[in-house]
Amino acid sequence: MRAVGKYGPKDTPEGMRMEICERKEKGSVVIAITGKLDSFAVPELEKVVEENVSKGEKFLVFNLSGLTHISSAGLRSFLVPAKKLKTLGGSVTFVALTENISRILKTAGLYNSIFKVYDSEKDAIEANA
Amino acid sequence: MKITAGYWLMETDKIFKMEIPGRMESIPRILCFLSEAMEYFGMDEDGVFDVNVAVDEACANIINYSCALTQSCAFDYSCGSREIEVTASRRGGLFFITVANRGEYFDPTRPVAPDISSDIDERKVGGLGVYLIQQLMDELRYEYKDGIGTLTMGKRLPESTPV
Repeated sequence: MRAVGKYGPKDTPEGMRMEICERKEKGSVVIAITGKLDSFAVPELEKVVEENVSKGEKFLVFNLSGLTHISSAGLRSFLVPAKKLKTLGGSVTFVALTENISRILKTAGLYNSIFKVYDSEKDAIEANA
Repeated sequence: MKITAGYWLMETDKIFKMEIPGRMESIPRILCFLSEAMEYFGMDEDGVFDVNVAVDEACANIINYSCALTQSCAFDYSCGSREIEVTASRRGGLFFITVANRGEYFDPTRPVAPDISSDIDERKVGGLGVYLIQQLMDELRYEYKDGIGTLTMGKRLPESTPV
């Protein structure tokens, strides 16, 4: 995986910040987000997503196994590209959600309705291939 | 800015308090501050997660709307330095957070009905923040007095936590 960046104020502890890594496999871009996707960090994720979409990537797979916090702005940063990619025949899918992140997605009516959720990257990538 | 927490918090054994500029970059610092308070009061892991989500939303709303709605702010560069005051405390079996700011009236306790059922083509993108606060917190109260809005959010502490 290629480290894309670490985001967040430098005076907050490492675990309170967000880190993004990505790799490409069989037509999918796997983006792993660890740490906190708080309202301040969201624009950084949006940039990474926009870069991939503008390069013509259609299948984004987010591995959220290390995500410890999410905000509604974070949810929007998945929903906006999901809408766009659907019109292009692509999708946004999730892998390895923690119980708390799953709970938030369910509360927001996004779990397995708007975003398909897979247990492993392999399953998600094969579904897209 | 002097903001005093509501009277119902005064029985608590300890109040954690921070004042911080009303800017997005303050949000990670507020969450950091709260983690210390939640550890002190014995909040469980799921509770910590929920409180973090709710406080992130409450602060983002203040920064995006309460201050932005004040017309003069558009021309006032000190706007970004308007303070948000956050307190954390306990009363009985509840962990309380107050988030207060001087700005426009913005009440996140009013009922909202975001779109959580349409399919992807029809799904509206906004309105989830306030809904999440309402779903995740056990008590909510908003007061607006003398130009200062105070949102109080209560989250039940685990039953094993000594009162």
